Amino acid sequence: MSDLVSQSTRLVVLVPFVCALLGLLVARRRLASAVVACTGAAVTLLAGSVVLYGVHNGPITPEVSTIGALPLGKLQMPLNLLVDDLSAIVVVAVAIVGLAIQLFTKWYLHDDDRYGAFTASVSLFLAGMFLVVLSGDLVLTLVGWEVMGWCSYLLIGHNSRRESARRAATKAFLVTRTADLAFVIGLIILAAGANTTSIPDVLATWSALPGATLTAALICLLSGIAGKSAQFPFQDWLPDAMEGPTPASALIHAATMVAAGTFVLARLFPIFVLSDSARLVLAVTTAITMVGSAILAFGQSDLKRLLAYSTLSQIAIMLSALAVAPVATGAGPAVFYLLSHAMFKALLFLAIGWLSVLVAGTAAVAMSGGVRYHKQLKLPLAVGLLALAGVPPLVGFVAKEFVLGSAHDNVSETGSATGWIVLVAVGLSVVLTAAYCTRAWLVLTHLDPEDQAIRQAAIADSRSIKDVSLVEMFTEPAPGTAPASPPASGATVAVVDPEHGHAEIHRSARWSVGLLAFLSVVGGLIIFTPLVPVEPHITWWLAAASVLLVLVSWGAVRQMASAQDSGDAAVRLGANRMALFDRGLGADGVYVAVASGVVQLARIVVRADREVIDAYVRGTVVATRWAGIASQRAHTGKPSSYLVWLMAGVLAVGLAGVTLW
Amino acid sequence: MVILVLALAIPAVTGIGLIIAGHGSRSFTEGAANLVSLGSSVATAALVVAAVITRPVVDQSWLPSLGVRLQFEVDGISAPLLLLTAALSVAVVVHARSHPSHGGSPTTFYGCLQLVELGALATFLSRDAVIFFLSFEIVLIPMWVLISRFGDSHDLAARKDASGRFVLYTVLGSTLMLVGILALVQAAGTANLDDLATLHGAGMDRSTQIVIAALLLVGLGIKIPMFPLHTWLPPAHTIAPTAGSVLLAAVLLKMGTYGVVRLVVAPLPVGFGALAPAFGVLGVIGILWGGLACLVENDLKRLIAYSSVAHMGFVVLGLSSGTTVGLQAALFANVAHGVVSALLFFLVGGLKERWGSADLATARAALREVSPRLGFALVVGFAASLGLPGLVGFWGEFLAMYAAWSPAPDRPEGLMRVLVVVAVTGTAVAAGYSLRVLRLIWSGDRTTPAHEDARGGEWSVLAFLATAVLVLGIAPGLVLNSTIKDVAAITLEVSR
Repeated sequence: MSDLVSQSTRLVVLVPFVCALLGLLVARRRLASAVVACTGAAVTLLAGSVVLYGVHNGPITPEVSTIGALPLGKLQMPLNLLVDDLSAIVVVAVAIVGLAIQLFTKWYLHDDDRYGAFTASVSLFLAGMFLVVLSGDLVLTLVGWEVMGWCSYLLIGHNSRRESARRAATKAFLVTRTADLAFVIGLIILAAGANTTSIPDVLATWSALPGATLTAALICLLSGIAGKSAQFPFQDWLPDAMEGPTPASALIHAATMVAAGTFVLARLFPIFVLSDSARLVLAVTTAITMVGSAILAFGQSDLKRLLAYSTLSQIAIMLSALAVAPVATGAGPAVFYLLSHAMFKALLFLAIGWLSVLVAGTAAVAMSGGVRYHKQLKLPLAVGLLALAGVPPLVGFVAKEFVLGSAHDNVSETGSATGWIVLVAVGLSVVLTAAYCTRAWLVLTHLDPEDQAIRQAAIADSRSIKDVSLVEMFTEPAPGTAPASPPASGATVAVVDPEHGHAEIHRSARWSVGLLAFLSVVGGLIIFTPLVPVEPHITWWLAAASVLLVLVSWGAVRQMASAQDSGDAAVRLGANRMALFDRGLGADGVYVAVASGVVQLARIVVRADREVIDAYVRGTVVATRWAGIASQRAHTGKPSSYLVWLMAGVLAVGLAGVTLW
Repeated sequence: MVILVLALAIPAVTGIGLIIAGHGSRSFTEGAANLVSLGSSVATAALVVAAVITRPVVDQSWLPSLGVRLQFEVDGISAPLLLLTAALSVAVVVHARSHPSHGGSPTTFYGCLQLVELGALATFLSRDAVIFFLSFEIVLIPMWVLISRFGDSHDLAARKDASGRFVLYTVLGSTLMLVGILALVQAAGTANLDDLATLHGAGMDRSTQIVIAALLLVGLGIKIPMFPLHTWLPPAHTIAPTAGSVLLAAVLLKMGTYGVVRLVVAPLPVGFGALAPAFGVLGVIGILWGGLACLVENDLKRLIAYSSVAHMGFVVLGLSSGTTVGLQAALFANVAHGVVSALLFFLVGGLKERWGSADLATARAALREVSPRLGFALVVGFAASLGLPGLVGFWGEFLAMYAAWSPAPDRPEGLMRVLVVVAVTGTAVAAGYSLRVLRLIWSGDRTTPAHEDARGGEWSVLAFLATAVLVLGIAPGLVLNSTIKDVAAITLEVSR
């Protein structure tokens, strides 16, 4: 058993990696790529299930060797994997989402000429995530961490023919890489203090050494985590990452890259709790992101970007659980939130991606009334939004209650500022999340005569006859109407997926959406199993209060929307303000300013390289020439002058001889 | 013993033979010269592999009055470099089949390549400081010929400047190194590198060690090249033919680092310890300097040359830490840079031939659209260049930073940590210039002017190097396990 689990653990990382390599080799052949990717994802899920089963049934060897320890003198670098209940359940969740995404992608990108490259990148991305989750070594964590970053670059920039995609990809990688600078330093501090990179040993060593150095290391790590998880002030890469095809967004947002930071911190939780300062820093960062991006989500003119901002907010809630969880509670609530978010967010992205194919666009205007015409999407989107809003008994509600409970425990036990910050911020975000979910739902279900012409043109354009109900098949679409008009604000270009003339959705893709929807509904029950390390205990008055808040918010947004012709509550904000929201309050400008500062510095360096450093080199040429000319002058051709030199030489030698005697 | 003699004799005979043959008969065609070279390089590579496995020894008295012995041997530190040299010597010949040289007789071209290989192999094999120096010098003239006769002929004045600058600058370094070697041999009483390493500077007082170390570091620093002694490198790379650029970056620069380990770090621990902080500071300045220059540089070959300065900065940082980890990091990063820069220079050489220049400001067809193989190799090359974990560039950089964070006891810890913080920002700059290049030439929607993708020899060389980048990135132990024993003997560190 123990051996089987160890082998399966290796396979979980190895299979997607090998699939990525194989996928690259057969990238030109669509069917082979699809077979490699989907089979690989299925095998990974199987191996992950074996690990999960093994962890809960019988003794296992937690540390699993990989490529062998590296010989580095005093520094131990065993490069082991680490299996425990925490990593096993996350592996399975990631594998489920990965499989769903691979199946969905097969349909979604069915006419993309780079499907093979895309799906290979997805496999590599998953390998990186599994490595982070299963890592028992700081260096392996870093490897998986950066591999994911690189794959996000490839996936976001998948449609590299489009300038906006190229820009978004570069921005995503540079922002996260910059945030990772401190992450690397943090890892080095931790490893240097323990003379090892093995995570169990690092935890053991540093548990005995709380203090300023540990706090510094942890805050450094938080910087990298904020970068990958798109927390303030690194938040702005993520909404732009919507340039990637929807399955890539689902992958990055749901179970992998943005959530990886939560897992890393959960791994290091035993030493993270030792530093109140680091916890406070995390609480403040996440509180700002949680509330700020929920507000921004409400005002987005594009529903896919609304989901992107909701991810920021949700990840912040997830991380804040780690800032407040008492030692006894541990990282369970955060990891459970990760699992629940993985399900419903993947569901939402895939469903929105599906709808975007049908209505040819993700802008709120294009999607308005979408589910009225595409009834098969009503249930998945409803489930996703309800789970996101935290409505009982869906998984999102259960997960949120655990975070609220942790914050409440923290406040009642210590009364610390950290606890209060998180409690208030999560409370606010409950209201705001319900608000933007309601808004999205009202937009999706809106029926407005003015919009009808646009929508019908879009339906005609999607050419998917079976998705159009009988009545509409006989109504003539308005001729010459643009399928997707630009968003009201005009600030951002609607992210239109490049596919036109899509085939009918594959059964496997439909099933993967259905599976995610099912898990989003019943996932909450997992707390009654030993699979997740949380106590099945909910603070009832907090739960009741949060439900009340959701209801109030729902009512208010309905009220706002009812006054609008478009059915979009956000229009009440005003076009100017929505444009500002679409730009993420101008954070991009700050990034651009930093980048252009670096480029200015680079210009100075190039100038100095030529004018200062190389000047000495060129100077030797000039100096040599002058020396030549000078010595040539000494050769006057007159015997008398040579005689003078001769005398001087004799004198010098004589003097030297006398002195040295 | 026969193995080693043959491994040196074959390139020597082929090299000289080709050069003479080119002047004698006119019947030697490009193809024939290539074939002879290929045979020679492959045979040499096979012998080098055999030597690395069997570890033979050559030891003959040569100049008894000076105590100079013809002593050649493979050890853990030189083995990866020997393999790198031998493999790349084959690769440049294979690549030249599809990309023939221009500007002079092909026999001279291939003859010079063989002589460069001879010099590099002899440098890495030599166990005698004086022979080391002689071997070191063998490569200079053939490389000068490669740059000055076969280099980019668009601008003859620039070519003359680049080749002259290369040879004069490096000769200056060699002169300083010669003085340093003679002083070292004089002070230590032996020219044998193993004895020098075993002595650990015994019998030399601190100031002597510092003076000798300073001479050697400046001399070898030119070769590495270390900031601010690097300005010969960008023009040399820009002008040199593809084969020249590859050997220059992947083999010649390695000789500098190798020399520092053999002649400074091992025999002069006290002297090097005193100079290490300054050495490290210059290395870290190089990381930032080279990286920043890449952000605005518009000539792709120059850009890669500047990125070499940055990468060698990490090698210098690792060396300056004085620990086992640091030395391991430096030696690994040395090999890593060899593989990555070879890949990039093969690639860019091919692109320059297709494009007619290596200018980034000109709008061109996106590689991803028109030549996916070249595009793939470019992505791998620049991903490795920015130190992406899982690829070969990562380990050297990360371990060098770790080593500098916890340096040897006699190093100023505070300063070294500041260096780490600066060096780590260099990795973000590296990401910046790598993505800049990818955005400019890899991705995009242009498909004109179309050029053909890599095929045959060019593709096999690129695929081989891309594989090496991946394999060494996943299994860094291949190099680290080879070097550890000799590194531990140098640092005298007892592993836990």
